[in-house]
Amino acid sequence: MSPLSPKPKDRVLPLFGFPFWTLVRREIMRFMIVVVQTVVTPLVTAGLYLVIFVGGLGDRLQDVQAGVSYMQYLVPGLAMMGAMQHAFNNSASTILISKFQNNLVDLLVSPLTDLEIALAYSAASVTRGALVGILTWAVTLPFGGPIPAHPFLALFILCMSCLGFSLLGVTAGVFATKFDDVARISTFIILPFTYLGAVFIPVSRYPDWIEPAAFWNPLLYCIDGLRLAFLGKSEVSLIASLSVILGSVLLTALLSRFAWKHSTSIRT
Amino acid sequence: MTPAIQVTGLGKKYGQVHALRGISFEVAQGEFFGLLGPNGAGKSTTLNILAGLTRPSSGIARVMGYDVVGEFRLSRRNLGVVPQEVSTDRLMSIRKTLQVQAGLFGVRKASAWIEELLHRLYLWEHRDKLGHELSGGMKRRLLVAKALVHKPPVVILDEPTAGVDVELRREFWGFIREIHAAGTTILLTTHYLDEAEDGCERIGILGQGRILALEKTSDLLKRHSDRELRLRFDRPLPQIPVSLREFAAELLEGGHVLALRTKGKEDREAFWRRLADLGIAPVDVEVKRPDLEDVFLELTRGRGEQQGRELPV
Repeated sequence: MSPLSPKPKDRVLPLFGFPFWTLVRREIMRFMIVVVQTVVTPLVTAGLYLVIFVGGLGDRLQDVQAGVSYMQYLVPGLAMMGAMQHAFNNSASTILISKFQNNLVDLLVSPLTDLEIALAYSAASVTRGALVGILTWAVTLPFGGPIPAHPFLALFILCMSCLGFSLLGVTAGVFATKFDDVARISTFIILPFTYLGAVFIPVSRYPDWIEPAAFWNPLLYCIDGLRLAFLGKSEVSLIASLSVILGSVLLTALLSRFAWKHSTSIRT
Repeated sequence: MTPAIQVTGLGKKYGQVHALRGISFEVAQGEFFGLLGPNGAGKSTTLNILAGLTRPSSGIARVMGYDVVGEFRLSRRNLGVVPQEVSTDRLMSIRKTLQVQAGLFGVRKASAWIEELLHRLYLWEHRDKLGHELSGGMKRRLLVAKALVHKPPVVILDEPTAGVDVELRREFWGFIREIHAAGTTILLTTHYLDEAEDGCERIGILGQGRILALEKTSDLLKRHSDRELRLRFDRPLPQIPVSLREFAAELLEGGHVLALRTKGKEDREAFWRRLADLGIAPVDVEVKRPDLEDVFLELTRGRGEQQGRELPV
């Protein structure tokens, strides 16, 4: 037989097998190639927030939560904020760039199912988001950052929140036709909801007219859920936090499935 | 034996526009098949349906017996696609790109085959270059390597040499002929009809989403027995003789050359009889047989003229 002879295939590959993990590895490699932009930059941003808020306003915000310093209060919020934003941006920008560079076709002609492709993109985005979150927390340790009271719960909440945002990023990337479309979601939806999700101050310190609406913000349950895992207390209960996070994951998963199935920018 | 490609009643509508109107054809395993047609005829739509990039509106398409919709995980493992548009991953080297592509098709140990492909496609020396460092020709060759990295029995070439220089085209076709000789089925679309004529054993011509012709390349050329004749005379003809005007004759080079077209053997015999009756004899006769381009134009132009009358699907 010639080395050029083809090899017909008659066996279906297992779902979430080697092709799936190949795509996950490729996507992780993709953001690690530009690690300064994808991981280091958010650490610098978080560092600046810490300097300004803890250094500048820390004295006036010492009593935001009983028994914890403002530094300890702020770190879980900053970690989750960076993690969510980067999980979203990773999926959305990777898919959009692949569409621009015409190399999405490599995946579409492969035996991967649409579910595997969406979840592989999400897995890589969760990795990036979680990396940003964990490093944001880790660099604060020498400066009095908190030690998590429930580390596994913290990791679970961090990863599940990132999963929800990465799936949302998949949907955005599928429907977006230009970077402006992704930036709009990031700037006009994610950023305001994040800032109003108790990253910097508790909901109880918000103006009276915002406070009731703040509890309808799902990002509050991600941010305060992580704070609960770190500090052992927060403004939302663990049950409420987990319910909202897991419900959001389900909702964003359905959205991304709809996007892959119906967007004509993927399969015509 | 299961056909490599089997298309039955395949249709595709984009809104009210019919891109494909229920076409059917088969490509046998090991065959080199050409799918030709003018822009908008439905070639790329057909290939995209086979590759899984486009969803069919009706009908069935199979690759190695596997339905491209219901059994896409198997049909796609058996198919390699060289797309029309050049694309590369800007931040990945050629070798890494091929390793990843092999992995996406479930091939774990591909190093030896990747090395072989890199050598045969003259990419070995450039194996560590990143996507954005490659020339247009290298990108084209990389597309071919990506399509073959999982050793598929069926390969689709969608206008693979568009914008490619002569040297690269020759190397490219040399390699494609080798993999075809080793047993790979090839489905080609191209606008370079000489390439189709040289390589394809059988040809399907599409027009307006329908198959206008589907036969062996040699039969297709034989069936269209028009001949272009150019007769040279030592003394110029003052005008086209009346008895020869029906052959769409024209006088060239100041009356020294009479160019005309005959349709079939009887037509040619009639022409020679009339020329003999006129008592004029050419000093040189040049006969041009039809090539695929003539056949293609005849079929597709004819279809274009009927366009206004043809609506039902």
